[in-house]
Amino acid sequence: MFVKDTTDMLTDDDCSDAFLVQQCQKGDRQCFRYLYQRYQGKVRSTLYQLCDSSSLDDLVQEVFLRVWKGLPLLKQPATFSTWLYRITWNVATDRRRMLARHHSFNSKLKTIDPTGDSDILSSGGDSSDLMHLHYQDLVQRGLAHLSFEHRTVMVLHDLEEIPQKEIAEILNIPLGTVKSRLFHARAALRKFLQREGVNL
Amino acid sequence: MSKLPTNDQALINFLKQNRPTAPEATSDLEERIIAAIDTDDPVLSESISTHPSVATKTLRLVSSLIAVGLTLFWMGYRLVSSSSLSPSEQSQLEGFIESNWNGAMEETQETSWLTIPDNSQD
Repeated sequence: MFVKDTTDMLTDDDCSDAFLVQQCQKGDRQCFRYLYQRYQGKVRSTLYQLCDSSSLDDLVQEVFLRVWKGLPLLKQPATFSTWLYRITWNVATDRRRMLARHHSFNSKLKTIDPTGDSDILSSGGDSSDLMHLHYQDLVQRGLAHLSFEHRTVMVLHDLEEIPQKEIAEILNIPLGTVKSRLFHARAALRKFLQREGVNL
Repeated sequence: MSKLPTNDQALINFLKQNRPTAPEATSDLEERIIAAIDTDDPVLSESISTHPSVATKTLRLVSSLIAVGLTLFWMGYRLVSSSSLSPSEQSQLEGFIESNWNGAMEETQETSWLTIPDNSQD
């Protein structure tokens, strides 16, 4: 089969998103595997910042299953990454709603390890490692401290480096709202870090 | 692109340097996903949200209400249709009511319940 022969010779780095999407729309699972390998790290990282880690594999799986099922409806293959982030955000939102029905997400995070000391104390290592672990814990708690809307914009822009205009498309909100949320999210996080003794 | 304020850049650098790293995926996750799309197994896609959506619940409720309504309507219809009398039964009933009505109106001294004759004197 021509499609299979073509894609078998290629590596995922050789192909554009648009080409891979078009091949997937023809039913090529190998191209879908390339897309997965290309984006699973970003999807995983984003989900991890937005949700808890207890069911991360399930959430990643849910994202890519939704992607596969939705691919035939994607009219503009070049916008695949924006579309993928939108699905990721939808899955994170669904997960958050499901958790909210049982417990508050933030309170759950806080009760797991309110200070993060257990990780730090049990990890051993030199003082720079300890400081790094401490700062990682601060960032995690700082992000959890934000509202879901502010956290989403901050994770997508400041950590995943997605342009503000694209974030507006992903979240289906005006660009001004993205800017506003980013401003308030940074201010809130900076305030949180200051309370914890980190001045930036 | 507009230049970020220094303190914003410092904050972003701090976040990037100390962002929590997501735990590694299980080794078979990729194969699980590919297998799932091969079989297009709906169970896998429903593994996260085990609860039915609000729309599903509403649909089920409306369906149940329609079914109950239809059942009640059918039962009522049967009840009404079975209670209708044939012409001969109607004429019998009319005759019975008429005779009873006449009997009540033509009450005699002997049959009046107010002046029941004392049989012991007979």
